[in-house]
Order: sequence, then structure tokens, then C-alpha cells
Amino acid sequence: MNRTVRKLFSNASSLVGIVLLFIFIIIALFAPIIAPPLSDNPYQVPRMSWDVNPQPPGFPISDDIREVYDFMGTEIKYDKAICGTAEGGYDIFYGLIWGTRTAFKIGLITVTVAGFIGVFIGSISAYFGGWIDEGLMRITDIFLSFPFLVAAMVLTTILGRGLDKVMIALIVFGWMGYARLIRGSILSAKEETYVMAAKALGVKDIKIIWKHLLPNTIFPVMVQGTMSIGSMVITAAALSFLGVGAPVGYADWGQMVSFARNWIIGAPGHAGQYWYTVLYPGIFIVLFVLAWNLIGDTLRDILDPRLRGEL
Amino acid sequence: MLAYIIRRFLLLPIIILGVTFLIFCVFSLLSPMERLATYIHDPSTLKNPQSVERLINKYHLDDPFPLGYINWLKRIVRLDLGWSQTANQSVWDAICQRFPATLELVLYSIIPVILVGIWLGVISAVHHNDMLDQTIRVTAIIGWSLPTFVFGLLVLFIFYGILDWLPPGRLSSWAQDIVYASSNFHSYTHLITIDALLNGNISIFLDALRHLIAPIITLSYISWAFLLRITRSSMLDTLRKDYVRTARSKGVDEHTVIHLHAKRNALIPVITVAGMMIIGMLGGVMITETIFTYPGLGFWAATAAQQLDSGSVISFALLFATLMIVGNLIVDISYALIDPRVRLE
Amino acid sequence: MKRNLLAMGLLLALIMLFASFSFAEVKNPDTMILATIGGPESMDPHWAYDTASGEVIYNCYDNLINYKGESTSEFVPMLATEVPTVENGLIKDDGLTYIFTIRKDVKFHNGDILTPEDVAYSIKRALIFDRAGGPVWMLFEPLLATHSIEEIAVELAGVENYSDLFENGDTRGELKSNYKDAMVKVVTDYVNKVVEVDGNNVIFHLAQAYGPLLNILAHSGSWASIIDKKWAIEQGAWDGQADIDTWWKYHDPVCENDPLYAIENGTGPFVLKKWVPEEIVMLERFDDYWQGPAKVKNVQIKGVAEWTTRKLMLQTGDADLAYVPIQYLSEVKRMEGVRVIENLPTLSNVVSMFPWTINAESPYIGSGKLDGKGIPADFFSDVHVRRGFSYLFPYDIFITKIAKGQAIRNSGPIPKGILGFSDDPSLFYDFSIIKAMEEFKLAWDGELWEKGCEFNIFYNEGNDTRKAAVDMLATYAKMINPKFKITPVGMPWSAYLKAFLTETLPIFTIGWLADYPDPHNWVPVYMGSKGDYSSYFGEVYKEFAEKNVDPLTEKALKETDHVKREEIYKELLKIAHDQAISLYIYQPIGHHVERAWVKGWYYNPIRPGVDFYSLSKSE
Repeated sequence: MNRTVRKLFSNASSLVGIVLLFIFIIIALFAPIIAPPLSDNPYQVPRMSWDVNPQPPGFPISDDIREVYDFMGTEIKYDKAICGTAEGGYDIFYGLIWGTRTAFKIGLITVTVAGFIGVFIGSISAYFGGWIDEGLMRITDIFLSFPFLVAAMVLTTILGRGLDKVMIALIVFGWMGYARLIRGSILSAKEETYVMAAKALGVKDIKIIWKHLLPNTIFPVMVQGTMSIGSMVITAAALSFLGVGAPVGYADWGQMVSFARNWIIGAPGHAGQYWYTVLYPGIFIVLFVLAWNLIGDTLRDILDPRLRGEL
Repeated sequence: MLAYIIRRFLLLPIIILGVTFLIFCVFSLLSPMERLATYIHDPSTLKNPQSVERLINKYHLDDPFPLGYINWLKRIVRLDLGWSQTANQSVWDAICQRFPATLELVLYSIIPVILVGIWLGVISAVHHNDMLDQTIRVTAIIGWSLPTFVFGLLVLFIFYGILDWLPPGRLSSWAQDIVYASSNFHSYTHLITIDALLNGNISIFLDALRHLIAPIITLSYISWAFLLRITRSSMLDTLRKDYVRTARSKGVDEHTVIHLHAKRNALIPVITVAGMMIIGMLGGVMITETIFTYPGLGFWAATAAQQLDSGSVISFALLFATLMIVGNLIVDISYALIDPRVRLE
Repeated sequence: MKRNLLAMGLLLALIMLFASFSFAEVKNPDTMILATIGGPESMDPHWAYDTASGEVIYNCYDNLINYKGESTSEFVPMLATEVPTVENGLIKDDGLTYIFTIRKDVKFHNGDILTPEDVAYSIKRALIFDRAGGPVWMLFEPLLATHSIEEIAVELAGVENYSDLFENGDTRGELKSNYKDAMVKVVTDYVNKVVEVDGNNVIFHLAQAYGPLLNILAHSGSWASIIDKKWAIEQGAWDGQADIDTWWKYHDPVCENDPLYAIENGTGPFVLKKWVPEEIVMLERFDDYWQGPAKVKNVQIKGVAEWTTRKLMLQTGDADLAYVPIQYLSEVKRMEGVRVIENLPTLSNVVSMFPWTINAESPYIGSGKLDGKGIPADFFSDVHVRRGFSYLFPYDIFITKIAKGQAIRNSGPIPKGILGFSDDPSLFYDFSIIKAMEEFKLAWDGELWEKGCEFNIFYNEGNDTRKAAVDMLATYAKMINPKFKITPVGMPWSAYLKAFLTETLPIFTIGWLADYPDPHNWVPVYMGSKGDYSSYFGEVYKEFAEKNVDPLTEKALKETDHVKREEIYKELLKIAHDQAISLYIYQPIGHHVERAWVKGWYYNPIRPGVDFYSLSKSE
């Protein structure tokens, strides 16, 4: 374990990844201080203006909105849209800061839950074999045969908009990879002598799986999980782009980018005038996913037993 | 071996049935009035409560779940896939119309994906851990980290907006006229590039190709990163093998070692992954097609899913599931055939 | 070796790429291209009720009369040789009889000649077809004083529901034999009586005097298009006989069973060459058009869902006309070679409505009591609540910021451009927080102000304008009294529709687009006891409307004098204002965007889409 961590830090690309991740963690933790919420729901991105058009960075909060907050006695702790506003007047900066929390939520929760489900199904399937294996693997095939994006879209459309619904859709259609991975590993591992020995000693099946098999086979799953965190965030963003997903005005990076959709090409002669609607959210997404991918990629190299001698 | 194949074939219909059953379950979460939404986009067309009744009756929207599923199965057996509200034509027609477009896009995308992905993967493995390797890897990872839709929109912006080289859609207006309405043009395969060549019409061939370039770039750029990784690790694996060491020690030059001996064997797992990726692409075209307004299956599927057009969604899922499973099967079997070391349990 | 091959391959690709550029400048001088969103649903005039279908049908089919240029109240003859008026005697019997003389030597696209039989058949087939959720109710109201052929059938047969007439309640199955006579009577005694052929004339017999009949029959009303009887029967449509071919089998089919769904054969200036649903509609000039051939040879209507793509098409000239949503209008105005025509009053508006009685089981009214944690089901039956909200909405901010100035206010359900519109300031609610507070304090004997309220307002997802409106209302409500906890929630269309139909929405915001340009298509919708929208306001409102609104709308319908009609509608507007029945958010002002080389476009607010016959292209 220590060796792994040391190797992670010594490798240039994974170091970059770790640093990036660290920055994001700080942003997520200190979100209420960096971007103080202006309403009781902190994930509701405040509007700087009722205007549909995106406003450039440095845009001050419009008067009629300021009036409303003054009237209600809410203190406005910052009144400039540092990164500009997106379509509909939503403050990009706020959306990005709180969106970090959303990204971590989406990534960590979906991967963890999907991982658990996958590992559970996969290990049962591999360990017990026979009809159980056959049945569970066929069910896995069924889920794998789904056109993922379409299925996720249908599910979120039916269940309604909301972050939890998006996560449900991602989990329901995301566990299969882990199941297959762990099944493969356990299938080979269960023929090992130490397992045979444990069985001969009469150790309970559950214990064998939990204490002996899983710890030795879990690493590929962990690597896959790390890589998946990024892709889950991208998929959630894709769902927002396609019109389902987090409710409009929710602090979610995918939302922020989807707001930019119609403004990527500016007015003629001013091509790219709305660059901030794409650039800022785009950078956040890319760096976040990049961080996880860099770490995961190096992790894979480290944990790959065939490469152990080479690094 | 034969037993394995037979068993997998027998399981095929069960899995497909499972997929459709699952989707049906999901749709049955909707009440009849909610299902009405696919047919009614404006409540003003419902003049009175009776219209609602009439419509629910007409489209069997209040059939209980088992009845609905069995009726649907009966129709499918007769190859009647129903009507697509979002496409305003029968589902079968909708699929036939759009499938060639998506197929054309995916087929052409395979070439750069495989060429670039494998080529770079080999280079990366050979130059393991030095600057070239790191650069390639990082580029691939960055490429992988950018959402498709942003990349696609940027491609559209640069190559259409600024340069006016690669327009969206599938054909220019003058070409559309000829392909759709001229009696001189015969659509043999409905793959416009092939048809244009078969009809001897180079200008349409080039026009179609021009419209394909941007979607191909967008569709393939994530995939080549993925293929690169697989190729790289497989190549690394192979380069460490004994027979490679032997070849080297025998004095064979490095170039031959890499390209003649190692690559061949390294590519085996890659090919199988590539096979699955291609089929996966068929499902992943949604965003690309939407951005470039490319009239294929993906675009239609996205619209249908949003509008809860259950008939279309189920049929699309059916099609996709079938392709996936059959593809999976073919890949598994070919893997077993190519690599005799693999045992099929 | 491999490397060389790869390089060569790339080089070849590049060469081909550049070669293809030489074809990039191919012009489309013979073709007019419109880039818009969505596509038509059906080519069948009796099925289509959406604008996209209406546009194609408009260009392929003709009607008996047409609107004169930009007017929505003056008519010119089309397939009829004269427009019936009281003066020329073609409207008789106090508005119960209309006579149309049919033009001679008019050709259908397949060569058949137009006869009065075609006109009579078109109307009768429409009445038989009568699809649920379709447009034919507009013919039923004047001609048979009812809404659907099923109502007639049910009355004649003496049953409760139309499905009772069939075995197993399956309206697509076998008719119960004892009802056959009644069903045949539906045609012989009713449908066949509404229109008769007399020599060269077609005579309409109405069941009630109906001011807007000519509007309903005029070109722009695709449901009144004249189709070719012989051709339609050949394709498998109803063949005109009541008992030999059972009419109920041709009634309300599903789209895939409608023989006329994908084909057309009209007398209009364009022929449908090819229709690829959701992708493209290709029209070709009909050279034998009775008014002379069109100037443009080909028309293409392309479905381009992505705005950026449409915009680029407009910029490069690949599209001659394009649909531009309001928020992007400013960008388009700065484009070279593009003409923007603004200030086109559309016959539509967006209204937020307060149901006087909400379904008591609604999950959106919180506790269901006036205790600060919800609202009672009859919350909006108190006029002070309604007035309060009417004062609360920032109309002008909405129009300037959200609608970018491309909207005007309506005082009531009648928009500008329709008879009866009034901009009398006394009929408007101005945005006034003070007045809103006063009204709310009077509501429910002061209890509302003390205890507060909590409920959800909904908007249909994907509609940012409505979302902004709803957000505004919620924000300002909270502003004046923090105990007013109103939460805006977006719903997918399916859920919204269901909530609307089950009367569970506390406030719903909806728009209306005119079917025909007459106040009778507006006021009853929003205020009548059986209105399309107002019928969802609950029992209490129904009683109120039956007593105060319906008598006036009936009177106005039958009144022939324009001035007198206007007065009656003014009374109705006053009621709408005093009772604050709804919050009239805005009437959109439309715009039209085309390339500068397009000539001949003119505006008519009721026309569905573009009139390609009037267009030409010149540099």
C-alpha cells in the first residue's frame, strides 16, 4: 500500500492528477465561503439578471434583482458575475463552485453503489458457479445489451428531473462492468490452493469470499472505479445536454455547459464572443475528469502485476 | 466448442426478451394520461374531457401491463413494430430510413479509430515510459476527458462556421434533390457514398464524404483513446514474452520484432475489443448525430426517449440489444478460434 | 512500408477534400429552402392540426375562399367564384345558408378536373373522419351544432358512450347489429344534409348562425381544403356511401391506417415530390396551376433541430428562410445579406390561470388548508387572491428582459389583431407591490396574510420563457410576504399534461394559438363554462360562467353587426378584468428572417408558415 502511494506521487502524470484533485477537494469543502449561497437551497444557482443573453465576466448584478434581495433583507456578499452569466442570467462562477460538490457527489456515489452491486453479483456468480452463475450472467447480459444513453434518458424522463434520478439511472446501468471484472478475477483465484485449503478447513463461504478472495481480486475493480468517476460526470453532463438530468438552475457542470449550447457560435463578426460560457465550465469538467484519469491510469500501471518489475 | 455456440444461440432470444420486458416495465410506470403526452403536444387540441377518453381508448393506453406486453409480443412476431410518433411514420420505416445513415457513419469512423488508435498504441508501448509515451498518453487522456458535445460543437464551429468547409447534415441541397427525387439515381445500399460510386456520380460521392468528416472526427476521437490504451497494455505484455526475447537475442532487428512478431499477437485481444467498440458506437452516436443534425438512428432515439415515444424506444432498444448480443457472440467465438489457448467454459 | 501507405492515404484524403470544395459554391437558384424545427405530422387535411402540416397543406391544397393579402377579415374568391355575403345574397336565411359557385377548369395535380362533388365530398369526409384531438370540431360547431360525430351517433342510438355501440367496446371492431340503423341515419339525416350540390353550386346548411364560418373555410384552415373525391376513394378513403361501406370503419383511424397520410392530390400551386418525415419536405411547382405557375420551381422545407446549425445555414446562404427563436434575433440582425422583418403581431398569447377549484387530492397544495403549509382547494375562488397575483407580476420587466421587447400586453383573452381587442388602460393590471399587498390582506378575511401559504407553480420543462415568468411570480411573492412560499417546479410534458387534465395544478401557464381569427376562438376558451382551458377551473367557476359569460358569448357569436359584437366583447373583457380570471402575461410579437435575395414575402397572422407561391429569388 505504501509502495503504491509512493509510486503514485513519484510518477509525473499521477502527481499532476493528485494535485488537481486536491484543489477540487478544497473548492468543494469551502464552497459556502467561496460562493456564499443567496437562498435556502445552496444548489440553486442565483440569477444575476433576468436577461436571456449571457453576460460577460465582471457583469454586475442587475438592479431589479438587487432590489428584490434588498427588500427581502438578504445580504449580497458578492455582486459581480466573475465568470459571466450563462443563458438565463445564471452566475457561472457560483455554478462551477457548487458544481464541484455535485460532481463529487455524482462521481463517488454512483461509482461506489454501482461497484458494490457489481462486486456482489459478480462474486456470488463466480464463487458458486453453475446455475447461479448462468442466471446472474444472463441478467448482466440483459443490462449490458441496453443502449445506455437511451435507457438513461427514458428513465430520467419518466422519473422526472433531479440529481437523484440521474444517479439512479447511472447506477442501474453502470454496475455490469464491475460484475464481469470481479467474476473474471475470482474465477481464476478460486482455484488457488489457499482457497482450497480454506474450504477444506470448513471456513464458511461468505468468509472465504470476504476475507480471502475479494482482497486479492479487488484491485482491478478499484482501478476501473477510479477511471469511471470521470466518465460518470461526463455522462451526467451528456444527459443534461440532451435535456434530461438536473433541474434547470441546479449547480451542475453539465448544466452549465448545456446552457452554452446555443451560444458557442457568437454573432457574425463576433465569433466566439460567448467564450466564457463554454471555456469556464469546460475547463472544470476536463480538469476534474483528467485528474481521476491520470491517477487511475498510473494506478493501473502500478497494480498490474506483469509490470511490477519494470516501474 | 459446438455445444458452447449452440448454448449461446439458444440464450439469445431469452436475453432479447429480457431487455424488452425491462423497458416495458419502465414505461408502465407512467399512467395512461402521461402516456397520452406522446400523442398530444398541446392541450388545446383536447376540446373536452371526452377527447381524452377517446384517445386513451384509441391507443390502448390503459391496457394493464401484462396485456399490453403480450399484445406487443404478438405484433412483434408479425414483424409489426408499431408507429413512431416522433418520426411520424411506422417504426420499421423509421429504422430502415435511418439505419444506413448511422451505419455509414460508424463504418467510416472505424478506419481512423483503428488506424490511429493501434498505431499510437504500438508506438506508445515501444517507447514505454519515455517522453513520447507520456505525451501520447496524456493527449489521449485529455481527449477522453472532454465531453463529446463540447468537442463536436467546436468542430462544427471551426470547420463550418469559420471555414465553411464541412457543413452539417448528410447532403447538400442539390445532392439531396438528386438522391431523393431523381429517377436516374438508384439507391442500392442506401449508403450514399457507395451508391454514388455505383451510380458513377463522383460529385455526390465527394459531397457525402464532406458531410461525414466532421461527425467522424467527433465520433472517433474518444474511441481511439480507448483503443490506444488497450493496444498499449497488450503490446507491453507481448514485448515481455519469452519468444520476443528469443527473437531479439537471435539478432532479429527491432523493427521486425515489433511489427512482425509482437504486434500480430498483441492485436488479438485488441481486435475483440474493437469489435465490441464498433457495436458500442452504434449506441453512442446520439450526441454526435444531434450536433451535426445527421439523420441517423441516434438522433431519432434521443428525440424518442425525450418524448417518451415508447414504441420507438422499445424498438430501438430491441435493435441495439440484438446487435450487441450477436456481436458479442461473434467476438467471443472468433477470439476462441484465433487464440487456441482460450478455453471456453 | 506501412508508414508510407499511411502517408499516401492521408495525402489522398486531403486531395479529395480540396477537390470537393469546388462544389461548395453550387447555388440553388431554382430552389427555395426553409430551415425550421420539427416536421409535419400528416398530409391528410382532415388529420392535421399542427402548423408544420398546415404549411405543406397550405401550399398543396386550395380552399373555397382565401384571405385578401395581409387581412384576416377580408376575403377573396379562390375555388369559389364569389365570396358569399349578405349583400350579394349568397348568405341567406339569417346566416343559415351559404352558397358557393364552383370555379371551372381547375385541375388537380393528377389531372382530374374540380367539380362541386369534390367540395361536398371534402366536407362530408371530414365529418366522418373526425379524428380525436383533430381539427374537424370546427366544422361540427357551425354545421351540426355539436362537437363530434360520435355525439350524434350516441344520441341517435340512445347509449351513453360511443364504445357501447360496438362488440367488446372495441370501436375498431364489429358494430352491434341492433345499432346499424341508427348509425346509417347519422349519415343520411345529418352528414348528408349539411352540404348539397345544386348544379355548379355547393350549398351549406348550418345548424346555427355562425359569424366565423367564412374564417373557418378560408385558405389557412387546412381542414377545409378541397380534396379530389375520385382520387381519395381510389386510395381507400371513405367512398361516400353510408350503408354499403360502413362509415364507422373510416372514422378516427390510427395514423398508419389513414390512406391519405403521406400523399396529396390538391389543386394548389405545389406538388408534394418527396416527404422524409422529420427530415425534409420537397415540393415541386405545379405547372397547370389555375392561377398560373409559381415563380420558384422547387421548395425544400428542412427540419434542422439545432439552432447553431440553422444559424450557420442562414449565414452561408444554404437556407433562404429560417426559424429564429426570439433570444437569438439580435445576433441574426447583424448578419450580412439577411433581412429581418419585425413587429409582426402573432395571434397567440401566454396566460397563467387560476383554477377556482383545484382537485382536492392534488399533491401540490401542501396541507390543503389555509395554515401556512398549503392552500385550500378553493384558494383561487377568492377574487382578492387573484387580483393580488395580477398586481404582483412584473409585466414590463418580463417583456423587456425575457421577451426582449418582442411582446405586448393583453388586457384580457383577446389579443391584438382580433376584433374586440382593447388597450383601454382601465382594463390592465399594473405591476404594483403596494396594491398587491392590499389585495392579499383582504383575501380570506385577512387570514391569508397572517398565515401565509405554500404551494408549487409548474412550468413545462424546456420552455425557458415560462420558467422565467413562473420564477418571477414566486420571487416577488416571497418578497412581499416571506410566509408566501411558492416554489417553481419544472415538469416533463407527460407529467404536466396529466396534472393539467386531472386539475391538480394550482396555477398553470399555457399558451393558445388561434385556429381562426375571430374572438369566438378566444373568449370561450379562456372564460366559457366549457372552454378548452376554463373548463378545468372547477364547478364553482362553471356556475359563474354559465350565468355571466356563456349568454354573452352566445349572443356575440350570432350577432352580425361588427360594432355590436365589439361592444359585447368589451363587456366580457371587463368581466375578465374585474374578476381577474387569469394573468395575461404577454402576446408575442413575431418576426421573420430571410436572405435579402428572397422577394415577395408578406405577412398574414393566421397563415400557417410560408406562402411559397408568392416568393421568388433574385440577387
